[in-house]
Amino acid sequence: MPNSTDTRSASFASRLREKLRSHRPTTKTTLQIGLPTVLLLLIAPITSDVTLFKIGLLLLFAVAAVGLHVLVNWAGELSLAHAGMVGLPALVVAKLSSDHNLSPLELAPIGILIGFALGAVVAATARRVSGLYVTIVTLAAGLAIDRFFFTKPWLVGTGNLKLTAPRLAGLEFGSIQAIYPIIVVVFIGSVFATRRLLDSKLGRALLTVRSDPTIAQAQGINVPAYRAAAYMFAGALAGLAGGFMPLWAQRVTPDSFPLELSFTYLAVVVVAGRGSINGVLGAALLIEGFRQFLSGTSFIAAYLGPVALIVTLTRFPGGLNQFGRMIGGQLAGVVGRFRPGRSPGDAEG
Amino acid sequence: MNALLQVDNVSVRFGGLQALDDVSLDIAPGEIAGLIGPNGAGKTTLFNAIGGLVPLRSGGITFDGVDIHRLPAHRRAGLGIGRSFQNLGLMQEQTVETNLLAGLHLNAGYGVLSPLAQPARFVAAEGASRESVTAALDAVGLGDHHQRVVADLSFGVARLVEVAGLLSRHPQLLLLDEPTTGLDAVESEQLKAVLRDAVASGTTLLVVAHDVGFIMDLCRVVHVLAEGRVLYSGSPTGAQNDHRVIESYLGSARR
Ligand SMILES: Nc1ncnc2c1ncn2[C@@H]1O[C@H](COP(=O)(O)OP(=O)(O)O)[C@@H](O)[C@H]1O
Ligand SMILES: [Mg+2]
Repeated sequence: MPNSTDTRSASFASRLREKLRSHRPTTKTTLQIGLPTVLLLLIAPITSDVTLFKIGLLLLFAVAAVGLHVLVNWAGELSLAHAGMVGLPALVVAKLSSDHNLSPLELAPIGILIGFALGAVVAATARRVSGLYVTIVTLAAGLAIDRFFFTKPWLVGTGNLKLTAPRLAGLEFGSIQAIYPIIVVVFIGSVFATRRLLDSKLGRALLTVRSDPTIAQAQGINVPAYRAAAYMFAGALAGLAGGFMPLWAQRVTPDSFPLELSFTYLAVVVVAGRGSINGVLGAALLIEGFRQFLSGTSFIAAYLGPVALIVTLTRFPGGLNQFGRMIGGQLAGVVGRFRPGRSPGDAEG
Repeated sequence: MNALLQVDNVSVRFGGLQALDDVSLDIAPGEIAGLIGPNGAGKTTLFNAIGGLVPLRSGGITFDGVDIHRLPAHRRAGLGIGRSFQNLGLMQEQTVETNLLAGLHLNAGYGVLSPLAQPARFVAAEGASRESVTAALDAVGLGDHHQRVVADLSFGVARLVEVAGLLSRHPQLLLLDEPTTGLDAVESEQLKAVLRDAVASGTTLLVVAHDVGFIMDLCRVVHVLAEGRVLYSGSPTGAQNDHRVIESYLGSARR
């Protein structure tokens, strides 16, 4: 047991920390949003359109991956329907845009709603089963989207869709350089919003549900509702990414969302590991980034996801986040004893 | 006085096993009641039945005048029933602070989307939660344990963390399932003091413990359970002199 001096100094430290915390948000928020936004925007003028296009695809990929990260690494659920949850909203937005001469930019938010609804459907199915059967049920859902919707001419049309030029509030977004900032905003906004949700009772409830549903119930957490919320959140972010796909890619076909893409998403969140969103961004860069930018060396691209997944599961079950925590711990040790409170999930082994 | 918790003729079956057989007992508000009985008597099952974790085969449960036996477990927690778990109701891989904040789920009075905009209400609620966590840990002398990972703690310390977390929620009724098991003598005394404080500030307790001394010391009423049936309800000294209790439990415990 600590003696009274220890207790007093500890509570002084925590009070100081509390003070710092209450003053920090504005600076912290500005840094969290501002710095990455500026960095991402600075890339645009110094890269070719082809590279910028790939970066945009990677950002949208990461948005969807963050959704799956919450589902898998926070809620402890699983989904192999994620590609379908990106693809279906993308195709619906493309189709509406092409049929009704609407701007894909204005239609993009519809993707969130479609993804959210798909998430609710998958949640309703998945709640009736557990363990391995969740994998099978979500795989079946992914297959159903693929086989049913992706083959319907009324949705995928015949050949390429002709998209209307993106515009919003009278502004035309004619070039990839003009659209890019929108994608950056979608990406930063999703990451920031997710961080905030996870760093609240929502994230802590998901952690408890994953750790032990019985304990969660006894703490007043509505376990089925939170599980469903995780599926709907994952669906909403997948739908957000999908909804902006037509705007960015100008052309979407079912081929852009093969079933194996669901596997790639899963590989990314497994490699990321439990905890911070940073891990999933790193894993997305590693796996999908390699695929995008090394498409010439397709051999590596094809095997990187599966290999990374197997290596992670067998050698580093904590994933990139575990590395991050180790390095963070070392740094903190060097910097000194005083360090600000860790956010939930950061402490996982 | 009206009972805070009223268990009426509750039976629970697991397949062919009658885990609870027509169990009835009342817990008065402000009481510290003990629940004792040999292993497998059905003590944990009774907690599960009260908390809504196992379905009743028959009987009813009333809490604070409300018939709760059909309410889902999380709703019963919402009414003010808290419980500890025999093998720790904590997330092993998380820090003490994260665990205690998670436990304050119902006390965090904001909507699930409120963290997005972080209005004053959210900031205040989160601040209040962190303050309760600090106060709860200080109360058990673990004020420097915020960032410790539960898996790294000794069982006794982890148990104090669990109880501290439960008390920070100010439950009306707290069910403690063998909280003394694995505690050393000092920790056990500390627990006793913390529980007395909790009762003084309005919590009602039902405590399972094999440490007969602990129960005799703390409780004014004990219920003795054996093979799913209530053998005895009354004063601790009465229990010690009841021949059925001695036969089925105290006798064997003394052996
Ligand atoms: N979920 C369950 N499924 C089947 N049998 C159970 C379950 N929970 C408890 N039991 C059985 O019910 C009896 C009472 O168990 P329990 O309530 O844990 O006893 P105690 O807590 O008094 O030691 C034991 O025989 C136990 O094996
Ligand atoms: Mg038990």
